[in-house]
Amino acid sequence: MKTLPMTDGFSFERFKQVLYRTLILNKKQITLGSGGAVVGLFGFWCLMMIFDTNAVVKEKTVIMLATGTVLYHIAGCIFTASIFSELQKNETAYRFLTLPATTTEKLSAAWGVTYLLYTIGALSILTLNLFFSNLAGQLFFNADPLNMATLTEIYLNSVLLFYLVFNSVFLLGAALFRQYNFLKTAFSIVLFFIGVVVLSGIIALVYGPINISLLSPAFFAITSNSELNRFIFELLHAIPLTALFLWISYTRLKNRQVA
Amino acid sequence: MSFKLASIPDFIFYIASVLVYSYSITKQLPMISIKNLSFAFKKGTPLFKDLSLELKAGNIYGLFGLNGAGKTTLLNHITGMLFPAKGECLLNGLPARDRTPAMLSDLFLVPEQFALPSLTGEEYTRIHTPFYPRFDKDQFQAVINEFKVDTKAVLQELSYGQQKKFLIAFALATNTRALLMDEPTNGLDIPSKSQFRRIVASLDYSDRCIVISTHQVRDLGAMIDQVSVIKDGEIVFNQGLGEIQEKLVFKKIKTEEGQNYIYGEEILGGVQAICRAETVQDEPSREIDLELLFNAIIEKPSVLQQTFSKETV
Repeated sequence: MKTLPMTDGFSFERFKQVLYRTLILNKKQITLGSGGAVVGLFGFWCLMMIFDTNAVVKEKTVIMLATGTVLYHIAGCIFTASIFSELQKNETAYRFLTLPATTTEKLSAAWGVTYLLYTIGALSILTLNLFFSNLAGQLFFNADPLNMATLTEIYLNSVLLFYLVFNSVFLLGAALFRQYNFLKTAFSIVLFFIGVVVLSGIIALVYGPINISLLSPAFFAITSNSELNRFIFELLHAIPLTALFLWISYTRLKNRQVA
Repeated sequence: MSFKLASIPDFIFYIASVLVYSYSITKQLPMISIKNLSFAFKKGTPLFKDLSLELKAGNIYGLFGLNGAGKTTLLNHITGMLFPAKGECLLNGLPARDRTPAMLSDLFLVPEQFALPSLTGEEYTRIHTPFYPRFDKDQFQAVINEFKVDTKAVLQELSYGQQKKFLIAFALATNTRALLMDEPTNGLDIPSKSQFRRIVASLDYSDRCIVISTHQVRDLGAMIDQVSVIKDGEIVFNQGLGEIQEKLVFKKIKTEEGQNYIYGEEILGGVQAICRAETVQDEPSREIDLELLFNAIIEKPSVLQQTFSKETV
């Protein structure tokens, strides 16, 4: 029988077991979500092709990929918000809180499932749909083969960065709230942005328009022509933000008690 | 002989654990130590006030109390799922609130209110057993067979009683040195309660500290060897069965006998009473009526405390 080391520091073996446990506990959600995404997106593409008499395969495929990317973000945030669902009820909280693993292992397993594995899974589904639409386009609509490499560029940056930050925010929501985690987190984000807009308005009214050069790409002498530089610039914002939200999530989980 | 680099910390940890464990056994240090615990769910209405309790290995403790006395809350403190407002709760000398893997792998809680995941018993066992180094698969299978639980079925589709039996079987087989069970017989049918008593009675608990919290004194009386009673936020009674047998006699007193007793409940033709052992002239029966004792502790805690205080020895 496999046993794990029970040292108090981070154990990769234990992390793998917590990751496996998280996957097994969410397998129904993952299977249904993946199956639904493959069938749904391809079905959406087929409907677009059938009902639009002047359909261009490439155009509809791009629409399908863009829809897939939006769905990827929304479904990812919903999935992330529910990843600590065991903590929501006293009847199940003991399972998570007394599981012999460190908070770091539990949080990194949740992040691993909701960001890394989820992203790999989502990209695979989008690629699979791309493959199906390419094949169907050639077989039934006499279309030329699509250049998949150029098509995937449209969502790669978005996948890497936008969801990286929002995943950490929704992880915090999952660790912080006791119920309606997705809605409460989404509402908090909306409130935050309203607050920023109102505060900016007040500051602008009092002091006049302010040029926040520190946050501008010009600060880094980066031009919008350079995709790589823009990506690095965005990454420099995304990583500290993600780290901050993950750290707050860690402290919330570490101090989490039953009601 | 050579060690892999990765195994050196594990080896040091193993040696340290063996030393700490040997020390705690030889010195009979408490496995669970609660010191001056104060806690309140709502400000101004404290549940625990300076509660102190020590629980040692080699005992099965019956933690009794009326509904709402704080038994579940106390177990939640021991497992680190609640943090004390004041005082501390230590498990093998370490604060329970730290919830370290080493501590949690040596602790298992069977809660009163629980929900198992939507997995088969086999899947549940496969993903959780690696976390408990002393898990005994044969013991688990034996208890599962005794309880007649289908481990191939999805746990959530089993009845509440069957789910509870599965959880109890898993808990016993983890062989954690601290095992806490909150109302374990709630939801079990009468034959299952007997099976549970039989299984617990057959356990080797020489190095384990088992705490059974209940208000159903009759159900579990036969299997415990320490009685702890919680009332008004304090432990008002904490004695071994041996000491209770030594100091108290439980007997039926006929109305015309007029014998003194410290607590009694009227029954047909007399009183079912608890007397101080030294006041009983005839050869007393050593059987303990736990329900009567519990009622006495709740009704007259100070009288019982006085009986067991050192001054009266």
